[in-house]
Amino acid sequence: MKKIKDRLLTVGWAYKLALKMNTKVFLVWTIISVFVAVLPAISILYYKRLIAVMSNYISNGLGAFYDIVPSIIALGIVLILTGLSSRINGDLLYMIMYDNYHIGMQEMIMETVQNIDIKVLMSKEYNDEYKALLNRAGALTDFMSASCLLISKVIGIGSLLLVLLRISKIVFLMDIIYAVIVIFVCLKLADNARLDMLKIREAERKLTYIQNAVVTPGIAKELRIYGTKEEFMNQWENEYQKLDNINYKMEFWRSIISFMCALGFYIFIIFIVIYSIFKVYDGKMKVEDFLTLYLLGESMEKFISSFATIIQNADRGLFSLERQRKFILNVPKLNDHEDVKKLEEIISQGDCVFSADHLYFSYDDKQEVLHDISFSIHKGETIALVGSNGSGKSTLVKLLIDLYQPTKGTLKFYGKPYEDYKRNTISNNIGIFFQNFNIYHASLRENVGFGDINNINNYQMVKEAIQKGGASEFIKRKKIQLDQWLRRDVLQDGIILSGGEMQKVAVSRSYMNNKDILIFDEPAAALDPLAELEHFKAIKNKIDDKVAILISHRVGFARLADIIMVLEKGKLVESGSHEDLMKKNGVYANFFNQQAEWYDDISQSERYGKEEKDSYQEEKEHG
Amino acid sequence: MDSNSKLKTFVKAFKVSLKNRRKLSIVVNVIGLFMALIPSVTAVVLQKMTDSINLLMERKIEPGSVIWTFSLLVFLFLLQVIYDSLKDFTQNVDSNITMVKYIKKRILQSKCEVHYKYIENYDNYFDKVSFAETQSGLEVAASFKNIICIFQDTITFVSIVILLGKVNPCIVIALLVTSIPATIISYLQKDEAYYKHAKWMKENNLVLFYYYVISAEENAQEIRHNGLFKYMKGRWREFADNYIGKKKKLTMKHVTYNSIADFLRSAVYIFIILVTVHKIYLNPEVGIGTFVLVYSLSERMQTITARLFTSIVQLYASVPYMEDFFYLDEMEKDQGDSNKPIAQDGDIKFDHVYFRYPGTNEDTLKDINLTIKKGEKVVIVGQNGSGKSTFVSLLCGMMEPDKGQIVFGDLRMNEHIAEIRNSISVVFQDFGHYQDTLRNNITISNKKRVAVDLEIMNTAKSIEVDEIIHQQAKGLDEELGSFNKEYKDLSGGQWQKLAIARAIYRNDANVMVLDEPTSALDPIAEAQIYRNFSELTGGKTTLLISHRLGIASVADRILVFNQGKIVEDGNHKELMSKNGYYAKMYVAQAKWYQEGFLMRGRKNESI
Repeated sequence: MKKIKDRLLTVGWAYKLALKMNTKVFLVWTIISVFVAVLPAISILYYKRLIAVMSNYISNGLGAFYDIVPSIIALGIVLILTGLSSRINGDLLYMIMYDNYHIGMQEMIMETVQNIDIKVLMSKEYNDEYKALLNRAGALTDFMSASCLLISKVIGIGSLLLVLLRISKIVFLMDIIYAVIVIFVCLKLADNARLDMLKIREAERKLTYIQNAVVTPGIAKELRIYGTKEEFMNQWENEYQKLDNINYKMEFWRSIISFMCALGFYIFIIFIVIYSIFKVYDGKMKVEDFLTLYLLGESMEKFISSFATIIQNADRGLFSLERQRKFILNVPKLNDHEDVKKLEEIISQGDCVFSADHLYFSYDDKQEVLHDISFSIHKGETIALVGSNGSGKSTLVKLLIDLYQPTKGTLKFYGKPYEDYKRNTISNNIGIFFQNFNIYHASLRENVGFGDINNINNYQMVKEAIQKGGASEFIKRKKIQLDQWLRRDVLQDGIILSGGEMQKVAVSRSYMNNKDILIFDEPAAALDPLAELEHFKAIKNKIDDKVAILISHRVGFARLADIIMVLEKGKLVESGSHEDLMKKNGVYANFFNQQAEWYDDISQSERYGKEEKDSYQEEKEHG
Repeated sequence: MDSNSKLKTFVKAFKVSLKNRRKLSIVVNVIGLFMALIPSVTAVVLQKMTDSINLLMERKIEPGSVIWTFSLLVFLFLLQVIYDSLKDFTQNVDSNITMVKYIKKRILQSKCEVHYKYIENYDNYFDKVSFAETQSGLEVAASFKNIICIFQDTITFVSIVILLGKVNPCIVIALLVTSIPATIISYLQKDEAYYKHAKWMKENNLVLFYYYVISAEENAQEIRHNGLFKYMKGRWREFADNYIGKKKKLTMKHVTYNSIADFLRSAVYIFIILVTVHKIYLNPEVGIGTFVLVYSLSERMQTITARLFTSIVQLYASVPYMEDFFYLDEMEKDQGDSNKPIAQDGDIKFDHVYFRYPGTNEDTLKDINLTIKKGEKVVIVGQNGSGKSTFVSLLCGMMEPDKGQIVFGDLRMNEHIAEIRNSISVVFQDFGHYQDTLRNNITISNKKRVAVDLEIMNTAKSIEVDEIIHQQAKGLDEELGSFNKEYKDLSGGQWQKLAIARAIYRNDANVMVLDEPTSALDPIAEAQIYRNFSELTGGKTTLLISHRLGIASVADRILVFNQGKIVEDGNHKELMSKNGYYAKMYVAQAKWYQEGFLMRGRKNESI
């Protein structure tokens, strides 16, 4: 019972959505569909009239040709309308609806996703459903097109049945019962197909993974060197076999059911016709009624035989929609209403920018990633965050930018708790370079401008940011215009940048609008030594009165920092200046020495002395 | 495109289509040729029955004889029902199941076999593949069915023409004449649709692309932090409106023209019915049955005529689609072959090699001329974009030099790519993350080697990957990626170590290539790799690209790339004393670790 209630609710939800997405087209379509559906019945009525008049003339010689001409023309007009409207219906409106629903659904999904906390999205509980939502933006389209078709067919049958009612009540009754049985059987069939649908989805996911993996550059190269083509093809073949078997089974059952329905109906018609033949003989039925019955039977059979397919298609769409609806209704969403009282601006009191008090954090509420962390960062300080992989550095940064919230403990920004600020206020004040940054398939200006979205059209500011990020050299050299697109995902004339160049663009992004707080998570990982030096020099020069947080495996650069914070397994184990921590001879000292031992002592080398003199000179000249 | 090659393409498509049909479906199709007569036969029987019913009403005959005619009708209908069901079933299985698999498999094969340059979208490869999958493949698939349908329709058409002609030849002429506009329009639309489809896909692709960019979890952190949603959605909306607008315009045009054709076709009915009824009124002996015959056959004839002519025309117009599909066959293939033997160990020689990426204006590699001795450990350094990765790419045979030769031992690369590839082991910068077991992620480099878990663990131990394995519940059998119910993923550094283990696992390789293999590793892990470097690489000739020059101390030789050329070549000591580009880079990095690093207060930094 609950199942049926769920389905009906989903159907209602889907229609509400569709109506909202494009009301005009939906209504026009509905009106025309109903009209089209009824036309066959009307044409049969006229047909019946023609036969009646003609048979009257043949048997009794009554009437003349000119009497029948109007009816012929009327019939002709009905046929013309049928032809035209099915064209307009099928081609035009269907096209429009199709695209509108697909795009409308995309829009709804995007809006929904944005309102879900990122931690929830990534959590195991919701991640699968989220992916299902994302990948089935077409579910609404599938469902609407199939269900609308179904409704028009049902109306069509209804109108035929009404005509039938005027001829024979018994046949009418039996036809209704038959139609209901058929619909019920088809629904049951579609229901059984749902389990198969899940299996098909699983198999398709795996197949899509393989189909996409082989064109990923890394895997494509390894495939050609390690000769693993066979592995992939075999894996794909095995998985596809599963898919094939299920599809075949589903097709088979659908055909059998369709066949049975059609056959059953014909046998049913046989009895009706024999019954009618005797009626005609007894004078209780006329020729035109007989032919009409026959025509009605034929038309109805055409409608009924398509039921199995249409119902299955509709159910397929409905199945996805059910999942999507459930997800959208149940997933915890971000609440903006309380935001009215929250702060929108920073009122800077005192020196302390960030202060953390016994922070704990866990992604999945099972494994703790950050454990009892307390610190404070003041204006103008440069902090280096150091630690081995998985120690929690990036996670700590994500807490600082308010992307995630600590599970325990307090985090304060300029003296006020994070919860007191409106969404995005804190992040607007921080320029960040993410380790796994994105370069978007959009213009260069946008790629940089994304760092401060309000100034995305401020060409001057974008140019400044590019300059600071060290990207202006290669941009000038390669003659790249600000409005040229990067990457070639869709548009073929986009520019392809190398790894290092992309990194520089992403760094430029963090410099947009001169934010007071800058965070760099592995900003030089892909740069050569000279570019790396330039880069950190640039950072050093730009962060004089700002707060800067650096994460880098190149521990040497921690020396730029005022304070080095060392994380190990989620705990803050050491904190201090480079000299302090080296004296301590602890975790940091170990990191430093492990890297340092691979470099010669160059303090005495000619080169070193020269460099020092040169850069000192430079600094003096440029002040 | 001359008609001879068009015919060849079509025959090829036909053969492919035929080969991929199940036997049952071929039988059904052949039976269909006979079934094509049924509509006409049915119409005649129906005519007879109608007339008999009339007589029955006048009590001029007994029910018995009518029932006899009726049984014949029933029999014909049952035949039709059975045939239709079989046809639908076999057709759906063929087109939705068998052919789809064939097309997808063909495309997957192409992706695996094609020359690497296509993976970087040379010649718009991905567009073509996408088109093949969604459009042109289906045309190839349908070619057999279309030919059979044409034959079937021709038979039906001829039989109907004969029957209708007997009533009144004008009917036939009227029907034919009004079907011509539909044919012409269909031809025109098809051609246009072809080119437009190819262009549309771009507009729609942009929409879908931005949809995924905005919603995908990988982008969530940046989008949220920078508040990009509203702006990006605005862009998406622009693209969507553009797409819908364009499509609507085209559809409107299509619908308008086709509606005119439809109107003509339907309007002719009035004429036909008038003619027939007039005949009946002139000569009642003709009987009502004639009207019924004409009515049911006219409709069918209309459908069949339109279908027949448009099928023939579309068949012709579908050839460009088919060519597009078979283009996959003509693409340059990758020459790798894991069944060929491993090349013998030897020196690697680059002989005046030049290389330029297709579509660029400048050479990426200029006059690379060097010999790497067997067993040498070479470190390659240089600015980004200086040609290091391209050099490595050529070395692995991913691309061919425009000028010059690459020789391994006494095997030339352009003649023995397969053998040379089989002797190389590599860690690329963008190494593969396989959504597969830990074991397979390591052993994928050497499928021929049969190793027990102990051996695999030993390989892993040498770079401390064994810790990672022990941490997993199922050990080596733990599956990484989204197909694992627990959704296991490793960190960047853990993946990198796994990739190195993968390269080491191919122990029978002679050459090892590592492109930035420690970029994601923390200092301790990195130091360990350096420490065990000679152990890990054994006697293999090793090429290592790195920005981290600490590795120089374990290298025999250093190659310095700058703007496509090798500007310095020697060991660490030699290059340092040269005091050139390499020395500059080395000092820039080493100075961070010096005792006397000058830090004279925050404001007066001298670095």
